[in-house]
Amino acid sequence: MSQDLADADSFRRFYAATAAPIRAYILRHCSDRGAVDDIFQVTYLKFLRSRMGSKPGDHKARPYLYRIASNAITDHGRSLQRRRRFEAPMPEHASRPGPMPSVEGMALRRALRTLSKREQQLLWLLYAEGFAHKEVAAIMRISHASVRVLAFRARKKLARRMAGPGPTAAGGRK
Amino acid sequence: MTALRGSDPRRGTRPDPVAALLREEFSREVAAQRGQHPDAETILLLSALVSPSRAASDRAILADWLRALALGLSVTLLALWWNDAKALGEALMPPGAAGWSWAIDLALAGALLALSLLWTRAFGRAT
Repeated sequence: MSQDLADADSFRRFYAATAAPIRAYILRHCSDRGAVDDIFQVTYLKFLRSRMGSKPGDHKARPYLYRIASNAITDHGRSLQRRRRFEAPMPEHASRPGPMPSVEGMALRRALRTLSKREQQLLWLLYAEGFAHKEVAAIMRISHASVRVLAFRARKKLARRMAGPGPTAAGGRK
Repeated sequence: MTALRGSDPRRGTRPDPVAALLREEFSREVAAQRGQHPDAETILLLSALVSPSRAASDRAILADWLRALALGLSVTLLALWWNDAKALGEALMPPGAAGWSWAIDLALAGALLALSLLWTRAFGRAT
C-alpha cells in the first residue's frame, strides 16, 4: 500500500514535468488534431502499465514515455489512413500557439512545415527535450550514427529554406 | 556566464542560430500546452479503472506461461509416447472392436493437432 502511494507521488512529479511537453509533441506530430487528447491519455496509461510505470524517477523513463507516444501517434496514423479510405479527409486545424513576434520565427515555422514528419520529430527530441543522440536513437529506433546525420541534414535543410525565397507549399520537396 | 545564442554548453558546440530558434519555438509550443492537459489524478484514476493492478497483471502473465508450458509438455509427451498411448487405447477397446485401431490413430492425431494449436495460442499470449 505504502509502495503504491510512493509510486503515485513519484508519478505525480513525473507527470508535472512531462505532461505539457508530451502534449505539445503529440499536437505537433499527429495529423488528427481531434485525437490528441486520446493519444495523450493512452500514452500515460500505457506508461503506467509498463515496467517503467513503477519507477518514473528513472532516467530512462522520459525517453521511454516519448517512445510510447511516438508509437501511439504511428498507430493512430495507420488507423486513420484505413478510415480515410471510407471517410472524407479531416480539415487541418490551425491549433498552433499564438503568432511569433519575430520575422525569423515566422520563417522558421514555415520552413518546419516543409520538413518530413520524421525530421520534425528528430528536431523536437533534440531541441525541445534536449535528449542525447543515443536516447533519440532509442526512441526513433534508428542507429546512433543516423541521428547525427539526419539531424545535420534537417538543420541544414531548415536553414536553407529559411534563408531562401520561402517554400512554395507546405509539405513540399525535401 | 550566459551561453552564446544557439550554442550548446553541454556539447561545446559553436553557436547555431537555427538551433536557438528551434529551442525558442518548441519551448513556446510547450508553454502553450501548460494547463491544457488533465491533471495527474485523472490519469491515475483512469489507469486504476481500465487496467488491472500490477500484481493481478503479473499473475495473469505467470498463468499464461504455465498454460503454455503445460500444453507444450503434453504435445511432447503425446508425440514421444504415441505407441504406448495407442496400446492403452487398444486395451481399453471392447473385445469386438479389434479392427478399429485406425480410429485410435485418428483420435491421437486429432488430440495432438488440437494440443499443438492450443499451445501455439497460449505461447502467443504469453509472449
